[in-house]
Amino acid sequence: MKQTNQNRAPWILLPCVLLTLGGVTLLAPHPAAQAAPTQVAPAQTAAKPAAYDDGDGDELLEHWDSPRYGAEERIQIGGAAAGFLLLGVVVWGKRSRRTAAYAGLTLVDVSDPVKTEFLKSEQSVAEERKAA
Amino acid sequence: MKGNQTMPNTAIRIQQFTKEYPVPRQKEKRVAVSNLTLAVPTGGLFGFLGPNGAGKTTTIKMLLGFLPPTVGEAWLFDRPVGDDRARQRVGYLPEQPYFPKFLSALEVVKAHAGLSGLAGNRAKERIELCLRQVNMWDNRHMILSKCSKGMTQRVGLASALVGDPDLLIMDEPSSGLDPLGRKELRELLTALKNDGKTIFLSSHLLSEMESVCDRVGVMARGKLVACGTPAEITRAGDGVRVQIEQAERDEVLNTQIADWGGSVEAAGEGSAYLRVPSALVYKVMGLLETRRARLVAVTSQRETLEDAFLRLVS
Amino acid sequence: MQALRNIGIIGRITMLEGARKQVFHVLMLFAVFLIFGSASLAKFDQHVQMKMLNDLCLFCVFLVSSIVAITITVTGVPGEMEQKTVYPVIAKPVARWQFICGKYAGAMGTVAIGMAIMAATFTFLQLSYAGHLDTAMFYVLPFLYLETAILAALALWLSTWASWPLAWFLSVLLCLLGNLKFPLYDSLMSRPQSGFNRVAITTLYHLLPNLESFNFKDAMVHHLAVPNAYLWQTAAYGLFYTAALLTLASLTFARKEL
Repeated sequence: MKQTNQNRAPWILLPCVLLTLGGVTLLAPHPAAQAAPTQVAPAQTAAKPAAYDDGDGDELLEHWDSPRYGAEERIQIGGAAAGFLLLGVVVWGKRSRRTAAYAGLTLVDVSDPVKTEFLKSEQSVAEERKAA
Repeated sequence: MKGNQTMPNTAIRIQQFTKEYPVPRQKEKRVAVSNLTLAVPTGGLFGFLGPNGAGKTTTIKMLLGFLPPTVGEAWLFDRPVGDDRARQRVGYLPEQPYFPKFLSALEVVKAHAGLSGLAGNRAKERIELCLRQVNMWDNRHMILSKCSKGMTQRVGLASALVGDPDLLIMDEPSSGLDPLGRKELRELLTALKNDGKTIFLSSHLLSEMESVCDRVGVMARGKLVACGTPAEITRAGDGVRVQIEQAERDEVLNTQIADWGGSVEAAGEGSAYLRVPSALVYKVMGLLETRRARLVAVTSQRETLEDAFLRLVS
Repeated sequence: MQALRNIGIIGRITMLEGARKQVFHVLMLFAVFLIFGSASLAKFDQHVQMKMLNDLCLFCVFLVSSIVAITITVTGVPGEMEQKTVYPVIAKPVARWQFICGKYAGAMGTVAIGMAIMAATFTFLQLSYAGHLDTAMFYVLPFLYLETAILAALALWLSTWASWPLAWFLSVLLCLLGNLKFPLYDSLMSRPQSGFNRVAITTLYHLLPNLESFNFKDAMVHHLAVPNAYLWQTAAYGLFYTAALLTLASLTFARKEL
C-alpha cells in the first residue's frame, strides 16, 4: 500500500506543477499581444480596427482592448495555480502520513487484554469456519 | 484482480466507534453510538440487532464513510473506512433504496455495475444473474416509478449484489417485502452465505434473524450489549412447558407438581400449562396418565432470540 | 480510468434527469419564443436588423443558459441528499470528488443540450434573414458556455453548504456582481474608504469571477476584432476558475455528513 501511494505522488504533483507553469507563462506579458495588438480571431468575418466606432458608444466597454481585464485574469489564474500547488502539497503530505501510520499498524490494542481476547475469539471463529 | 486478493479473517473491524451529535442550544451532546468495538469474521451472516434509535444505521453509515465517527476507527477487510477503496468489496442495501425514478430496473443495475468497476461481458453476465436472483429479470425494463416498494427493494438488492461483493451490508432488507419476498430473501441470504460471502444485516425482525444468523450483536441506546452466536445469547432455561386438558381442576395434580418444583398456570376453560424441570418430564407423563389429564403439547422452555433481545434492551 | 467512468455514469444520469425537468422544458420554450420574437421586434433596415437580432438572440442565449445552469446545478446535490439517491452511489467505491464532478458534468451536459437548441434556432434565423452564417458565432457561443460553466461551478459549490434557495439567490447575485465587477469596484473605490474597507473590497474584487471577460457579443454584433492571445487567455482563465470552484466544492462535500 505504501509503495502504491508513493508511486501516485508524481501524478498528483505533476498537474499542479504544469498548472503553475501555465499560470506563470500567462502572467508574463504576451509578446504576440504586444507586437500585434490588433491580431484578429480566426472566426472574424470582417476585419476592422479594434476601436471601431459605430456610434453607439459600445466601444468604450469592449474589454479585450483594456489591459486591466487581461491583468486581472492573469492575477486570478496565478492565484488559482498557487492554490492548486498548495493543495497538491497538502494532499501529498496527508497521504504520506497516512501511509506511514498504517504501514506498521497494530490493529488491536494488545495492552487491553479484554479487547484482544474478544477480537481473537472472533478471528478463531473465522478460521474454524474456513477450515470447515 | 479479485482472485489475487487474500481474504483477511475479519471482514469488519470496529474500534471504539463513538458518534455524538450536537443538540441545538444545549451544551451536552446526543450520543448515537458509544464506544463500540466489534469484529465481524469473514463468512457467515452477522445479525446487527437493536430497537429503533439504538444506533444501528449510524454505525452502518460510519462504516460506509457517510458519517465520520467522533472517535474511533474501522476497517473493511483491513482497509480503513476513510479510504474509498475500502468499499471495493462491499455491497450496500439501504433500508429503502432510492434511485432516479425515470430509470428502468436494468439501467439502475447497469449503472451500479459500472460504478463497481465491471464492464463488457462480465458486467452483462452479472447484471442478468443478479436480476434473476431477485426475480426482476422479467420486469427489467419496468421504469422505477411504476415499480412497487417490494420491486424497488429487489432492484436495490440486485444493485448491491452486482459487483460480486465479499461483504454485503444490509439495513432492514425485508422491510418492504411481502411474506413470499421475505422467504425468497432468506433463501438468497442462505445461498450467499454458502457461497462464502459475509453478510452484515441490521434488523429488528428477530424471528427471521434467529433462523439465518450465525452470530448476532445486540445494540441498545448506542452500546453493544451482547455479541455471540444466538445460542450464546439466549438463556438455555432448564424446563419444559406441558399443555394439558382436564375436565376439572385437579388439586392432587397441582400439589404434586408444586412438590416437584414446578408450577401450574390455568389457560382458559379445561386447559392448563405446567412448567416443570426437564429432568422430570417422564414422571409428569406418568402422573398425567394416573390423573386422567390429556396431554396436548410439550415445548422446550429455552429463551427465544426475541425474549433475549427484550431482556437485553430493557 | 475508473474515476472517469464513474464521473461519466453519474454525469449521464444527471444529464438525463436535468433534461427531463419541467423547468428546463419551460425555459427552452421561453428561449425559442424569445429568439423568434426578437426577429419580429426588429423592423429596421437589413444591417440594423441583423445587429439587433444578434444582440437580442445572444442575450437570450446567455440569460436562459445561465438560469438553466444555476437552477439545475443548485438543486442537484441537495436533491440527491433529500431523495437519498446519494447513498447507493457513495456506498460504491466512488470518491466524493467523483460524485461532484459527475453531477457537474451532467448539469453542463443539460446546458449544452439547451444551448444547442437555442443555437439551432439562432442559426435558422440568421440564415433566413442574412442568407449566411456569421462565423463569429463559433467562438462567441463557446465563450458563453464557458461563462455558464463558471456559474454552474459556483452554484455547485454554494449548494454543498447552503440550502438550495439560498444557493440559487447567491449564485444570481454573484452572476450580477461578476458582470459588473469593474464598474462596481471603481465606484466603491472612488469614495473615501477606511483602510480595512479598501483591503476587503480589493480582496473581494480579486476573488470574484470576471464574467464580463467571456462576453464577446459586441464583437459579433459590430464585427470587431478580438486578439487571439486574449481569447486563449480568457479560455484558460475560465478553465482555471471552474477547476478551482470544483475543487472547493469537492473539498466541502468530502467533509459533509450524509
